[in-house]
Amino acid sequence: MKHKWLLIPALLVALVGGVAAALTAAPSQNSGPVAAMPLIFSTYPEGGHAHVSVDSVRKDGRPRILAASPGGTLTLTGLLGSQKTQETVSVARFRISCWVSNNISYTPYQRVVLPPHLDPTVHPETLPVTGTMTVPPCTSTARTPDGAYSGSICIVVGAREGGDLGATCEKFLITDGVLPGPELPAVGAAGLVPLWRAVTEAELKSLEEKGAYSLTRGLEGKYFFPTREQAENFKRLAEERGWGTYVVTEAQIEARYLAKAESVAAAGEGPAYFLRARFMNLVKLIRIIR
Amino acid sequence: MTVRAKVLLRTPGLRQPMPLPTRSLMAWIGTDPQGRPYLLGVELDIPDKIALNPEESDLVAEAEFWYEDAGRYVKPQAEYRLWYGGDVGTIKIVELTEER
Repeated sequence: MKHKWLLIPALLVALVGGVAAALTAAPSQNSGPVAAMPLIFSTYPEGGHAHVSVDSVRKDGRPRILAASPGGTLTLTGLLGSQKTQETVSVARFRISCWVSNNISYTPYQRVVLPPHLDPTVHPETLPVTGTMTVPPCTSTARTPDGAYSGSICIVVGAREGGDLGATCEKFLITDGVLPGPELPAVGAAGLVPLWRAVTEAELKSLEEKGAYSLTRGLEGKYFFPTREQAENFKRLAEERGWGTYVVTEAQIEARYLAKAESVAAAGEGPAYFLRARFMNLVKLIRIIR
Repeated sequence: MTVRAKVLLRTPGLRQPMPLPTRSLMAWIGTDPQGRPYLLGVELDIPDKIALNPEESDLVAEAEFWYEDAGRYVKPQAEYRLWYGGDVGTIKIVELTEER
């Protein structure tokens, strides 16, 4: 019982701060991996459309509140690591909950084997955990300094199934109607829209050198997809066809600028945007996914 | 089914020379239910040229339409607008050279 009370402050730290403390469960009596609470580094919802009010605070370059449609599918990725000097085992799952807790759903548990963290002076190696969930029909919203939200998306971890001990969460907001993404946002719309593009090795080199997308001589614009899945599909198609090695990149643009782009639908590839040269400085490279 | 074909190109709407081969130009095969241009991806190349130039016409090019269902659209004598941020010309299928 005393041990249980000791866990509660740590859990609160994890929920509020977004980073869970490393808590060790009872040592295993067997040789082999030790059951342990991993560090939670981050959780990335994808497949919904990021959307924040213009003056919202952003964290680590990402919107704080994700807009989503009820019934839509979100793909979630969390990064887990350990600070143990021996190999450890933990479990993780994703949770979506409406803020008034009238709807809570989970993905199945996934077992994670975390490598030992031998050098405390370097960042622990992280392992991705992914899951897919349906956005619940939350019926009410709460207001925070970051804006309104309908619920939270969390990755929760523990030393064993049924024993969630820590979490890191992101808020989401249920929106009516079509989200920015497949369709162009309305002129004057506020918010940030994620874009995805599979790039060649040559474009990757340019991105790494300049930190931004640019057009080579003769090109008037670039195509971007509204979802990561489309970019991954294009990468696969391109590599199967022998066009070389492709890398998926994530970008971001303000909705008010995207509203002025050309929106198209490509057979077999789906919706896409054509962004002309004047947009290149407005598209921000967020990350390169290797 | 993806299709390779010999095509005739007109590119009056290009603003600057487009390096070859290119996968930037698309065949404009219709409009989707949301009113967006519905495009077919194609790789274009002309073996003895390094670029497509504005205002060129009757250029014989090799085209590879990579969409699996391309055979529905790529047929001899079929002609489509070329799309590159807008209408920049035409692509006309002369003959199919490979279907797979």
